[in-house]
Amino acid sequence: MTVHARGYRPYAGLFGGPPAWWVILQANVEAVRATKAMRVLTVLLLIMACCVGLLLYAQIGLDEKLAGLSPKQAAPGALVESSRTALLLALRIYYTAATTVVSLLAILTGAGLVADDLRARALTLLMVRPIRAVDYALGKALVLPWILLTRAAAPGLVLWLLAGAWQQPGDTQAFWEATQNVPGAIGTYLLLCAGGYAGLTLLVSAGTSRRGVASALAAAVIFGGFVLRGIGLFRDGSAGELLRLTSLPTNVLAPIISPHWETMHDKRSQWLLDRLPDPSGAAIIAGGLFLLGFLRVWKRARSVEVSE
Amino acid sequence: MLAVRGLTKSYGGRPPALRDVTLEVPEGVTGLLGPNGAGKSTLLQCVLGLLRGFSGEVEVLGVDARRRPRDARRLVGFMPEADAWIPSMTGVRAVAYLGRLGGLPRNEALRRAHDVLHHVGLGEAVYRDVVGYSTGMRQRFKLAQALVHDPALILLDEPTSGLDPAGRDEMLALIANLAKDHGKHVVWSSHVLPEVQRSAQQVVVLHQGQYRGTFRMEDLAPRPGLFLLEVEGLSPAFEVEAERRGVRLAARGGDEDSPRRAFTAQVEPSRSAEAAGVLLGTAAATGARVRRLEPVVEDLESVFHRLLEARGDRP
Repeated sequence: MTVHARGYRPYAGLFGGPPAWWVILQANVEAVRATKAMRVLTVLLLIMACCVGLLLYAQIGLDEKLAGLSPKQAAPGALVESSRTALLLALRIYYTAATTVVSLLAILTGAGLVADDLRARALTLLMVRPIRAVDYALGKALVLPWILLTRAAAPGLVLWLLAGAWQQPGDTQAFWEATQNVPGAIGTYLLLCAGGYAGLTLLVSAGTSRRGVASALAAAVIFGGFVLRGIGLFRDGSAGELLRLTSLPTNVLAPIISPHWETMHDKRSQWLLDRLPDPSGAAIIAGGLFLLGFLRVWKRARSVEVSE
Repeated sequence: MLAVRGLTKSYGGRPPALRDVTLEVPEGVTGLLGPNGAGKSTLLQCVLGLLRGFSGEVEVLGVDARRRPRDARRLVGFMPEADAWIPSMTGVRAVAYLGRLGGLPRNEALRRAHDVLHHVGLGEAVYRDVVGYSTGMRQRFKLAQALVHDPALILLDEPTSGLDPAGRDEMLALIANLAKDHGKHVVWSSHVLPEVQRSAQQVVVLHQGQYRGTFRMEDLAPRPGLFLLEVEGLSPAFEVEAERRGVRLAARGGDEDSPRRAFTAQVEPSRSAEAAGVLLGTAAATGARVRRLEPVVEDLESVFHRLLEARGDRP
């Protein structure tokens, strides 16, 4: 950049650039990344990913030892099923931790996404630019999914690839075939998580200009859902099914949990497996939350006033 | 520059906020005046293309703000009255962010953010979080964000609100500079009439949602028999002699021991033509020196009330 005298100068260049929603998304992701809560949670996730990776490595090695085989002696395909079970367990542990982190992120940071703008009257500054209300809503709605994509998707896929790499040379192909549903399960988890949590945070955040209130509301929905689900576990019929859908963390984890429980044949696992939320119900809840949150923020942005 | 034709806007079952408003705002600095509820904010919202469901036309520098609101907003910078900032951002990042939303490329937005913050006097505070700014600094920040995308028209809503006298003077100087040195058109919504009188070239008056008229400052008429007088080397004899010559003096504040004092001098309106000679003669006779002597012109407040009373009501 050349050194020049500071002061007001006319602008003779072109106007344009990326779409407004992308600019809003970038600015908000940067702001969230810079928060202390986000830094701490990212480090926690990283540590968790490393620990789960080590566990997976140890489990695969242990299975080989228990089978009394050295990697070179094992018969082709003999250890694929145990490796698959180990991977599914590792994914379940990692994504349970990731979902806890995402829940905390939604409560600590996500709840302020729109509430802080309302408190600072930032909408007055934003909406007098050549942007549409839908740009603002979309930019805000994608912040949490964007963070999820980089923080939660990558480690799960890396674990899957590592597990494949740690197979005996002849077993790799069989392992890929046995675990071919894993990327899909991770993708489903991400979609449900992105939709549900982004929708929830937008919904509570656009309803108040006080971040504390928004955080409390988000926490009430997340933890209250756990309690209601607990009640729903012991009720039969459609009431029980509906109650079991109220826990957002369990809904989003279902695609990751169910393949692991399917490998376990004890009574308790089967009982819990039967009571996991219905995937289409979980998708409707996540999609509904996203739509409601998006519309709430869009309406807020559309009705901005230039003066009090 | 800004043309409004037949603009009517209602909110629900309430009386219309604007009723068939037709006006043209010429180039330069224009004051937008009116009591609370006059429709100033509604008019600004229409100009910014933020309101729907109104009838009539609004044209900003030739762009139809109703059909092409985003194109109109690109030409306009807006400084709101209420405190407003971007959370969790430094001054320069916030202004650059708003500049990017105004259509500037990333690097240019950052460069211009530095420039405009420097221009408004926040050069030393560009890397501080806006939340930590004082009231005066936040007013300057709001002006900077209105300027970052180099708009041709700047809308200011009570720009001196919350500022101390020195801050007000600096803000008025910045506004005057924008129009004079950078060719910006400024529409300034305010209740502080003396400030508008000092800086605006014309005023547009709204009342109860209706357009009441436009007045050019150069048309402010001298008030017969009234003069503004500043004198140095004053002695008690000056006031006695002035009284004897038929001039009534009223001190315009200030310290009585000050070497230079200001008065409003009043003579019979029929003697206006000879008043200057009388005052200079009085000063010469008592050893005082006249440093300023000019007729007092009608103030904006009386014009404002006259325009409001034109239809039989007062604010």
